[in-house]
Amino acid sequence: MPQSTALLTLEGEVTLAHVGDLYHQLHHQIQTCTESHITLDAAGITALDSAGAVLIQTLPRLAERHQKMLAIQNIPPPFQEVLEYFAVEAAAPVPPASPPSFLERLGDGVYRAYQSVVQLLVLIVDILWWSVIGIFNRSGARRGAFMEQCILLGSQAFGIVALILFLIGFVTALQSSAQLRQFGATIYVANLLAIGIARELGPLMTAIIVSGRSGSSIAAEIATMKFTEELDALKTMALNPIRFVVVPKFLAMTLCIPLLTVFANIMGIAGGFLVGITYLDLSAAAFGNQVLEALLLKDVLTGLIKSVSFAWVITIVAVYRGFNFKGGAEGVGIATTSSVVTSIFMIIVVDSFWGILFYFG
Amino acid sequence: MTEPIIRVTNLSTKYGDRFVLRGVNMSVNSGEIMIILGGSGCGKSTLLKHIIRLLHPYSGQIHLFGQDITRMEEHEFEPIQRQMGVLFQNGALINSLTISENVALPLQMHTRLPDDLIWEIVRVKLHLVELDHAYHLFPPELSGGMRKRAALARAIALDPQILFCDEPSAGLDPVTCLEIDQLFLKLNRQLGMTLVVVTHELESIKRIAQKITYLDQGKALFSGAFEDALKSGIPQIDQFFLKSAP
Repeated sequence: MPQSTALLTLEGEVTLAHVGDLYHQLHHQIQTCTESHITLDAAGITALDSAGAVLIQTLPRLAERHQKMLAIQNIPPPFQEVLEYFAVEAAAPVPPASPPSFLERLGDGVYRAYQSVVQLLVLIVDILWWSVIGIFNRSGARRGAFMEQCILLGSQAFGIVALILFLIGFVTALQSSAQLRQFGATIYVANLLAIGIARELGPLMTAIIVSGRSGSSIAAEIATMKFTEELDALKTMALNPIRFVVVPKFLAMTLCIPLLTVFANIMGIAGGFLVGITYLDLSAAAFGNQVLEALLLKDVLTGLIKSVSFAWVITIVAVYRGFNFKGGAEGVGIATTSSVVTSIFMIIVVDSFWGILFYFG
Repeated sequence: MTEPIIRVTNLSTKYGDRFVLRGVNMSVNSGEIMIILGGSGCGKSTLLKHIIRLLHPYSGQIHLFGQDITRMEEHEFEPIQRQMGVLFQNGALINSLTISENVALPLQMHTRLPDDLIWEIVRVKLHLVELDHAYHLFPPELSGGMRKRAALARAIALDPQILFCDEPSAGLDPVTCLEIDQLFLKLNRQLGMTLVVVTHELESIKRIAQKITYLDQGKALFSGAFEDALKSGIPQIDQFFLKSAP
């Protein structure tokens, strides 16, 4: 007894632009047809490219998954070849230039400084714009890139940040106790440490460590991408390098540095706590109470505001240095070094600005 | 007569005060293979980078698909970009992604194909360039020639209407060179793909050229059919083909 056969047709342009829709349509038809044997009539195809060829060759396997047999027939001869080819299986010396005069050099210097400022401002606007767009619209960014960057720039920095802040808290408590002991005021080590770390040392040291660790890696990565034409390749694929490369890093830094700062504050105070209960003979409860009494919400918040601004400074400086990279492997080194030096300098400048604002504000 | 798919009109550009291209004219019809050739530093790669809009000209016009790309905003150029593939001289693969992820990237970003179809297309494209075994490898784990072949697979991932190649044969052995040329011819014949290839490999030119543009010190000495170039009697072109001949 002959088996019943379902007839499906494939016609029109079977090209990349239509393959997605055709796949879903045929998948649905294969899934819902009741016959176990299906014949696909491809006589009506008017255009076929590699994506179309892959689609046609994928269909029998798709049918097999649904316990059905699919046979393709009537493929027009010119397209038969395409299908087989994309088978799934299978000069006068130049006189030296005269050295520029003082005025030319001065003019050149001013012009370069002006260009750098303009480039930096354009970069900042670009990063901020695409970061805001990136929060609401995920297209144009690679899936999982933000989480990848959070792990790379944030969580992997936790160990070193925690250790350094613990030691700083420890040493600060030890040094200050030597002075406060003379006045019998060793309990105030807790106050000094809590305020000092939450307002100043926590955010500042975290930013400096992250700048050395993650800022340098961002600058080096972007400089290398420019050197190996990866950034140009992204542009030719209609992908914006700021959006694709920079925005995930910028958003990850904006989230991770404040979080690292909170952990850094806790570890710094823990370092002082160790000195308090061992060397200063303070009770754990007394030290804890003193910290909580001394610390205001404002102290923690100002520290966090600072840390967000530091995150932006580190990322923008690193990206700017990376994009302005010139030369080969040596240029990558220069971009990395100048990124760290500039960002540490800018962190201190921004910290001073916040210090003055919060002191008088 | 139909509008050429690429038309460069009176294109001039300069780096600093030095003119690199001077009044270059060139046109390529759909489905043709155009070779841009000339000595080192004559402006071949610069001309290519202008046509794919990585550089902006000092003066002149460049029409792709009938539209002047020198007067376009970035967002207006994007639909045109999706119809062209570019093979860079050094491959320019994204080093943090595997070879298959590199080839899948344009498909994932610019199409709504289901994932299993995307990975099938990636497999076919890697098979075409004989890199089936490199599917899960990262670019730094491959040789220069393999990286270039992987980059070619990425450039043709979207079956572009125009494929631009900057020195596709440089650094490759003659056999791989021949295979890449055969792939170019197949893409041209079977998909009607237009190719613009910058090269000075004589054997490669003889195998695939339909039209050539010969650049000398930033000027196009000749732009037209390959057979006509050989009969043109232009001394530089005669010298190029005679001196390069074995």
